[in-house]
Amino acid sequence: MLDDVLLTASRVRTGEVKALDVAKQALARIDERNGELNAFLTVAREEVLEQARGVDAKRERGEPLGILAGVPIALKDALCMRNTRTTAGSKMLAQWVSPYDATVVARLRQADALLPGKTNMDEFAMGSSNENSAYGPVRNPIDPSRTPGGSSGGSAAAVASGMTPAALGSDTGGSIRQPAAFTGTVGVKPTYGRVSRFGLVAFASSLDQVGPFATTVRGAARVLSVISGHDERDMSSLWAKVDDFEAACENRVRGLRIGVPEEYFAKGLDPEVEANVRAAIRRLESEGCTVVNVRLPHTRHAVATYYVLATAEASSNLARFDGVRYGLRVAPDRDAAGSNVDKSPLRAMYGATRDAGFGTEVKRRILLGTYVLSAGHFDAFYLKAQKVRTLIRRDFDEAFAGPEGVDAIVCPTAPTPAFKLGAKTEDPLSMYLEDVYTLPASLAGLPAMSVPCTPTREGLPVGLQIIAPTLRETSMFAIAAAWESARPSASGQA
Amino acid sequence: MNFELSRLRPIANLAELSLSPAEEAAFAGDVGRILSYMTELETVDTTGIVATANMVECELESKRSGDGWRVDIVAEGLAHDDALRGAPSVESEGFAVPSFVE
Repeated sequence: MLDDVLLTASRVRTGEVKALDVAKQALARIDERNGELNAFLTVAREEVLEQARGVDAKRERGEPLGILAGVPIALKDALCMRNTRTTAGSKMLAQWVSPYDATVVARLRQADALLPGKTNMDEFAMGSSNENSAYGPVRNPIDPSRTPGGSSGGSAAAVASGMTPAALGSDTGGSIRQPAAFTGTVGVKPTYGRVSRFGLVAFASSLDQVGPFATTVRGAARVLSVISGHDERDMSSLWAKVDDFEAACENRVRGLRIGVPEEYFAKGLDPEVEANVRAAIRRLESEGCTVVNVRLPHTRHAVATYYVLATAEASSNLARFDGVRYGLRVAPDRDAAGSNVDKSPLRAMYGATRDAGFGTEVKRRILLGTYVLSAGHFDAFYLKAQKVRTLIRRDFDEAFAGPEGVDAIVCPTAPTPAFKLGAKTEDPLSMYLEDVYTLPASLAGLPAMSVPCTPTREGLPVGLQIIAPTLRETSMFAIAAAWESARPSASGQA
Repeated sequence: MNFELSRLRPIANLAELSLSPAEEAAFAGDVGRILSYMTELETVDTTGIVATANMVECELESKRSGDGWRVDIVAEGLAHDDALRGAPSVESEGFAVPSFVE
């Protein structure tokens, strides 16, 4: 019943199952697995049962149901849900209860989805393994000794473990796609501006996008169709027509041109990941796609570019957490030796609050961001990175342009399968390099998704990444759905 | 590259972070090494390249009104009490802060 968005919605619509039974099953599954996986930080038990009763009552009255009626959807804890704790994975917001719904949450409610709770994440979405959460790491349902990826690791684990058939995450530099790859789920980062950011706790505003996880491509397409569309409360929200993403999954891929960039098959790529991704590309070719080699030469600068821009934006966005308007406030210890001694009581409170409320990775990024924005370094780091960002986008524009251009780019989502918990925590730079294949599409604002590829011999999931031109999610979904149908494991072939 | 404490401390001060000596020592190493990695951007020729702050040319609602700004219409926002509900300290229907002038 919790296997698939479309199946669950269809069964609730026809009355084959009651939404209340679906909600109870989701809660039972969460109770069964969450102790081990730590995927949910807050379970909205009473609220989800109430929502389910509302859906059942609506059906009994003969009122039309929304297209997600009775479908449980987990929410990353960076998304505000009315009257529910929203921590963003931080001690800073440990007790903060949101007074409003994020726009995406309001849209899920309008579509009659069920909202069972909030999922664990790297603090303020800063991380690639979910080990930066103030509430402990999430474990990968496929192998609990491994990370589910990050920063939306809790949402990915919720879907992969069958707690919910879909979830929302946010993706700044790969935080939906990489966890999807590590857990064998489908994860979509839409075009920047496609989905409202209103009510998403901000990390890096020029990059943050909300998107779905789901067990199937069509399930992700349906959730995206619900949350997409202009929102006057987000100034970066586009006035773009919301395409029928679900219908696009039925489009034929014969004749589509698929670009394969050599830069994404470089040193550091796990040989088995490479073999499985190349096999998937050959399979798409046999489905009628034309495979074309493309060049994205500035890819190698994406990690440095991203970590300059994202930390700069984060240092500015996180200035709001100062113990005044919401969240934690800590009184300074005036007797202790330290940098608070010569400050005014107000500034000493800021310092004590931010020192106690933020974790190590968040402080590290605030320091980096403050440095690259500071006088004397702005041009060399921040302005330079903005110019390299232009070049990274230009690479994609050239690959997609003209009659010889490609309809989509296909490549690995991450260079390795899920790594062991603790494997990279001592070396922040090696953790940053984990994002090497997801960052370019983020910097270019392009839609991109991860769809499960053939797993490794050890049974670890591998992600196939599909990147499309701006607002061309339909091409991306068509290719993803074609691969999902053709995938050897799905058809029972070796 | 180790980041000297004399350079780290002013940055922490700007960022309103009160770091312990142990944190300062740890960050001096990490921040230095990461900044050193970032300097690889110097190798990219960006002559004549325009900086990009935000990738998508946003079609602001304002474009409909034609004057560059969103139409100025009063709409329902967050209620005063709701805005104050999450505050650590409230006085006289406002956010209360420690003194900041002598």
